[in-house]
Amino acid sequence: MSHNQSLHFNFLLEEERVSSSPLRMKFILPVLGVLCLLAPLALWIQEAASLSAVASKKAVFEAGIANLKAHHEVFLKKSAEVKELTAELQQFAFYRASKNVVGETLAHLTNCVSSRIQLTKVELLTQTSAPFSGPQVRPKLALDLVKLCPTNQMESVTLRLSGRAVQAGGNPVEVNRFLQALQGKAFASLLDPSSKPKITFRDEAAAFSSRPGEGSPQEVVAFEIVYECLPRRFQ
Amino acid sequence: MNLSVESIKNLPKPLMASIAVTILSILGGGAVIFFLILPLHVSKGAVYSEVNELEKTLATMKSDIKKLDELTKTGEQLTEERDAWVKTGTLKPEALSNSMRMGAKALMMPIAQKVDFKIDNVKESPTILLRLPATVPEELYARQPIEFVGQGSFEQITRFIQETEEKYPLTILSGLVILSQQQTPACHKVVITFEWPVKQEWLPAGQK
Amino acid sequence: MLALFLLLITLTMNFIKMHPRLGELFKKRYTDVVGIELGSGLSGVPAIRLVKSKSGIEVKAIGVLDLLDALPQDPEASVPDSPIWSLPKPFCAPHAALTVTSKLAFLRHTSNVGEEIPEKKKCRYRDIRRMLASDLPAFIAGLPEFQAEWAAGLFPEGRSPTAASLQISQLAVMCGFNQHPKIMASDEASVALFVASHSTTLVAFQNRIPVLYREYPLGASHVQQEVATNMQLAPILVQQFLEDDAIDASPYFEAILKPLLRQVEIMNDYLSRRRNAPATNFFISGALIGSRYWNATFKKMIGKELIYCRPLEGLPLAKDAVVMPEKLTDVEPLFTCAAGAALALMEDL
Repeated sequence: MSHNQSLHFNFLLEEERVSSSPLRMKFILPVLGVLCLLAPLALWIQEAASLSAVASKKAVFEAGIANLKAHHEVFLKKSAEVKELTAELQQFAFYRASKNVVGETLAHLTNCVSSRIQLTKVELLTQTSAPFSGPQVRPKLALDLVKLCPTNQMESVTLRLSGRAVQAGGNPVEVNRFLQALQGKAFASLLDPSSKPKITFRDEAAAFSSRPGEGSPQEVVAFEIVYECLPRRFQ
Repeated sequence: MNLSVESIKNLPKPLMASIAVTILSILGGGAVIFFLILPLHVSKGAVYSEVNELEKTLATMKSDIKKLDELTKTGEQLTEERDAWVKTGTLKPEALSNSMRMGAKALMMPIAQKVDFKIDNVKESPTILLRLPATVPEELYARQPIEFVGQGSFEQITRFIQETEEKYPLTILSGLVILSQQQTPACHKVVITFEWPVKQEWLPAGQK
Repeated sequence: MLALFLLLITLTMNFIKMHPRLGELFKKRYTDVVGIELGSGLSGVPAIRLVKSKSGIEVKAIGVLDLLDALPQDPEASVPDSPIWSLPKPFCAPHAALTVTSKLAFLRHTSNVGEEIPEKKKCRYRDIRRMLASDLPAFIAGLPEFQAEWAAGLFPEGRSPTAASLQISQLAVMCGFNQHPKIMASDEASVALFVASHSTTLVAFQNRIPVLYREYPLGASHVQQEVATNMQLAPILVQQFLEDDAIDASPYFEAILKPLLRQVEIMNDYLSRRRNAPATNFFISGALIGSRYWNATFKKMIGKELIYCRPLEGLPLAKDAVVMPEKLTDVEPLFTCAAGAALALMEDL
C-alpha cells in the first residue's frame, strides 16, 4: 500500500456526490435530446405546411391553365396555321426568286446575228436537281423528307449557241463580232459577266469561193459558244 | 480495471437513464430527418419546380391569348396571299383527264395561238421538290416541268416565251432548245420547258 | 448536435474521473465550502462557511443552525426517508464538508492489512485504511453505513450546498489542527490534545504527520463535574467560578488531569525513543474548563508550556460575514469539527 499523507478521509461514495447546479447534466441531456426530436418534428410540420401551401398554389395554377386551355388551343392552332402559311409562302418565294426573265433577252439575239452567221442551235439548259423517281409516300421523319429535297440554293444555267460562220483567211471576225454583241447590255440579265465564253471551232467540209470582189476565198466554220448564265437562285 | 466498459457500467443509474433517453431522442430525431423530412424536402423541390413551370406556362398562355386577335388577322392575310398564289400561279391538272400536261397545254394554247406558235406535243416531266424553308410546311410544293415541243420562227418562239413570262409570273423557263431546220430555214423546231409550282401530291401511306 | 456533444463530454469526464492519473489532473478545487458537524450533541447544528480568495481563507458565515440533528444511533432506528436540510442563504456554499461525531465511528492504528474489524459484527461499516508514512503503522477509520447514508442524503442534488466530503470528527479536528498557523509555523515533533466533552484525543505529530494516536476517556464535562463536586457547585457555575483569581482550584485539576497528562508523557517518551524526536511543542484545543489551570498543571507535571490553539485562529472574518453567536470568542470551540472538515476539503491536495 503506497502512503498518502492526507488526513482527509472522505467516506462519501462517488454516487453520493451530486451537483448543486440546477442545470444537471442528467436533466439537460434528456431535455436537449428531446429537443433533438422535437425540432425535426417541428421542421417536418413546417415543411409539410409549406408543401401544402405550394400544392394549393399548384392547384390554382392548374385550374387557371385548364380554364385557358380551350382558348390557348385556338391560339396554338392559329399559330400553327400561320407557321404553315409562312412556310408555304416561303417556298413560293424561293421559287419566285429563281425566275430569270429570258424571253426579252432572247429576242435581242437576232440583232446580234449578222448575215454571215447562221445559228443552227440555241440551247438554254438549267442544271436541275434530280427529280423524284416517281410519286411516293411522304416520309414520316423530317430527316428523310429533307433528303428528298434539294439543298442547293442555286442552279446553274448554260447558254449554248451553235452555228456556222463564213470567214476569210481563218479569221473569225464574224464570230468575234457576235461575241462582242453578246456582251452588250441587252444580255446583261441573262449572261454571267464574270465568266468567259468557251468557243470551239470546227471546219465545215464545204468551202466556197468568195463572191466577186471579195478577194480571198471564203470558208465556213462551225462554232459553238457556251456561256455561263446567271444562275437560278432559290433564296 | 477495464476502463471502457466498466466506466459506463459504474455511471449512476439516473445518469445512465438520462443518457439512454438522450440517445433514443437523438436517434428518433435522426429518423424523423431521414424518413420524414428528407423525402418531403425532395418532393417539395419537385413540386416547387412544377409550380414554377405551371406559372410560366400560365403566363405564356395569357400572353398568347392576348395576341390571338392579331394572329387571326395575320393568318387571314397570309391565307389570302397563299390562296392568290395558288389560284393564279400554280398549275392545276385538267379537270377531265386530271393531267398536269393537259392542264399546262390548256393554259398555254391561248398564248401559242396569239403568237402563232405551233405546239406539236406537250410532255410532263417528273416534279422536283422545292427547297425547304427552316420550318417544314405540311403542304409541300414542287416544280412541275412541262416540255412543249413545237415549231415556229425565232420571233414567234421568243414572243411565246415573253408572253408566257409576262402573263404567268410563276411560270419559269427552265429549258430551251431551238433547232434550225434545213428544209425550212425560217421555221425552227423548239423544245421549251416551262416550270410551274404545283402542290406535291403524295401517295397514301402504305402504298408504294 | 448540442445534445450529442454534451453527452460525449459527460462520458469523457466520467472516464477521466475513473482513471487515476487523469482524475488527479482534473481534480476539483474547492474554494467555497460550508463545514457542518452532525451529532454534535448541541441543540442546533454548528456550521461555518469558509471562502478561499487570493488573500487567504476567510469566514463568510458562522453559527449554530436551527436544524434537527437526528443522526441515527441504531441501524434499526434510522429513518427510511432522510430529512432534506435547507440552509440559510449565507451558509449556502456550493459544497458542504460534513463531519460526523459518533460513538460508533472509530479511528485507530492498524498493523495488518487483513485485520478483522470487530465493529463490523454489529453493523455494516464504511472503512478507509491509509498509510500516512512508510515507517508508520496504517490508520483505519470507520463510519457506520446507516449513519453515512443518512448524512449523504441530507443535501439533495440541484441546489446549494451538496455534500462533497463526509468525515469523522476525530480526523476533521486533526485536519483543522494541521492547518493552524501555530502548527504551520513549527515543523518539528509535537503533541496535541483535543479536548472534547467526554473524551480527549492525544496525537503525536512529527512533520505534521500523526505518528501516534490515542483516545482517553476524559473530557471537559468530566473535569467540570469533578470540580463542581469537589467545590460543591452546580456544574454550570464552575466556569464562572474558575475565572475568579481569588479561588485556587489547582488541586482539583491536578487530581483529575494527572492520568491524562501521564499519557502525554508516554507519548513524548515514544517520540524521543522511537522516533528520535522529542516534542518541542505541546498544543491543546477544545472546550476547556479553566484553561489557566490546564496550563499550570501541565507546566508543573511536564515542565513545558501548553499552547492553546483557537480553532478560528488564522481565519479572519470576511467584511460581510454573517456571525450568528453574539460572543463568538466564547463559543469558538463549538466550531472546531466543522471548521476542520471544511479546511480538510479545501486544502486536500
